Amino acid sequence: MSEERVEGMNEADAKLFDQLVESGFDVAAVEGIDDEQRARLERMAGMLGVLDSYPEQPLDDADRQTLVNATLARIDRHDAEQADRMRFSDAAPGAGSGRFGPLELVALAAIIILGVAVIFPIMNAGKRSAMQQYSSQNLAGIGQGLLGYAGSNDNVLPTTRVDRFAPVFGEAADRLDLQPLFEGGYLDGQGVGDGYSFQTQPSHHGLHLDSTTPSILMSDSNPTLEHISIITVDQARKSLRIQSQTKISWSPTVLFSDGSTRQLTSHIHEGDDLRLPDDRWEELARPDAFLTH
Amino acid sequence: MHGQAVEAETSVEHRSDEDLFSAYLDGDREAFAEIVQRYADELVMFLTKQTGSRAAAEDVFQETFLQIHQSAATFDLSRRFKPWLYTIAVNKGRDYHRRNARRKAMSLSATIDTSGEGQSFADLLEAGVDQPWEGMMGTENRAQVKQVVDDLPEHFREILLLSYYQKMSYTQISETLEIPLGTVKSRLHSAVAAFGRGIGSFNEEGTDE
Repeated sequence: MSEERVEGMNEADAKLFDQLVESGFDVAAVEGIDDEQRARLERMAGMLGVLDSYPEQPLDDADRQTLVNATLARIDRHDAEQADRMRFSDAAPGAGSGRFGPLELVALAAIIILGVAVIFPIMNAGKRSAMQQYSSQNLAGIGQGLLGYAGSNDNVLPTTRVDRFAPVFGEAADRLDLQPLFEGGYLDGQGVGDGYSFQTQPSHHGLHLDSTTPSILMSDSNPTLEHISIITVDQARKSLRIQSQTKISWSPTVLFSDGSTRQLTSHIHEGDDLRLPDDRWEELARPDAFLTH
Repeated sequence: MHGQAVEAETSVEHRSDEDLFSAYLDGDREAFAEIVQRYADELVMFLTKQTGSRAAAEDVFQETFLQIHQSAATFDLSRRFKPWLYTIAVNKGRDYHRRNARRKAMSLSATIDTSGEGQSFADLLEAGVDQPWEGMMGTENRAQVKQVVDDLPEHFREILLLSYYQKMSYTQISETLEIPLGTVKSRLHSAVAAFGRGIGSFNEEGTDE
């Protein structure tokens, strides 16, 4: 509803009416108007005088006192309810105040710790399981490729010499070389380097497939160990012979020389040994060791 | 002792609204009771006309002072108390209408006959023309007056009540309704014209019958 549309009073009447308002609706108190304007103003006041006939019943003393008492009682009731709400709020520590007491902090910390303790292992277990499945499939594919290659090459697996690893794994260490598998079409893909972990093999393991006992050809991750217990030391080969294990933090998926894959419950397999990555390993405070299969 | 009590009572009655409210802010509950008592008559009368019901007026009266109590800390003691009281009362009256929504939503065009067939406000004031309101004076036509007032649009009714019954100046109305002075004038002009046309229309209907 637009007030601008209302055209109920012309400018002259509006000016007269303004004077009437400022005089408290007393026509006699309005000055500076002629007789015609005064007569018009009296008619205007007469019209508004109808408002005096509006039916209303003044408060008598009892009504007034009742209303006042009821008003004050309503205010008291409101204050009492407000106080109750405040007490309830105070009775619930931290509720609505945004503050935490020591008890709440301890409870919250306990909940967080429990949550982390429960959720993280579940998440890690799921993630590890998925990775192991993925690695197992990869290794199975590699195993089939290796067997295929060996079947066409007098049961000899493709190997290569990696001199730069000699300080770590001994002189003339042999390493499985997957590149011939790709080149010979025994394995899908463009080449090696992504997704596979190359496991260096000591020469005494032998890489021929005619061994009665399958040996591990490769693993899905770099089996670096820390804080191992050294049992015997082969100074000549800078190697450590493992007779017991100490720290097990993961279970590798490995590819055996018969082409099968298996997830080891331990990363240690019979015949494995550890190689130190540095000739000065005896001088190192905490030498890392590489597990070789 | 009795004389001192009478003197204290008299002094309370003569204290200004602002003094009493200041005392109330300092914890004087009696001062607040005096303010409630002081405005009981005029505010209930005003709210009766604004709401159209005595019972509603008394309820809105209580809500008004409850709001005053809740908002006491926000009151600027350098300002007058009465305009603030009426500002809150008018707003509570509006809330009442919104809650009940029983009042007929009359459009302004319906209130003021724009067809040109009826008399204009200026015509009603012409000398020698029948004064339709003359027949509405007296106790027998109070219901008709009430109907004309009740049928006014809410913003017209409240400004007419503040001006005529409460004798507020334009400046005071502007302060109470929190609207510009120019809007107060134009709205009151329209409200008075609407009221005049309402009386005229009512009188014509009565004549037709």
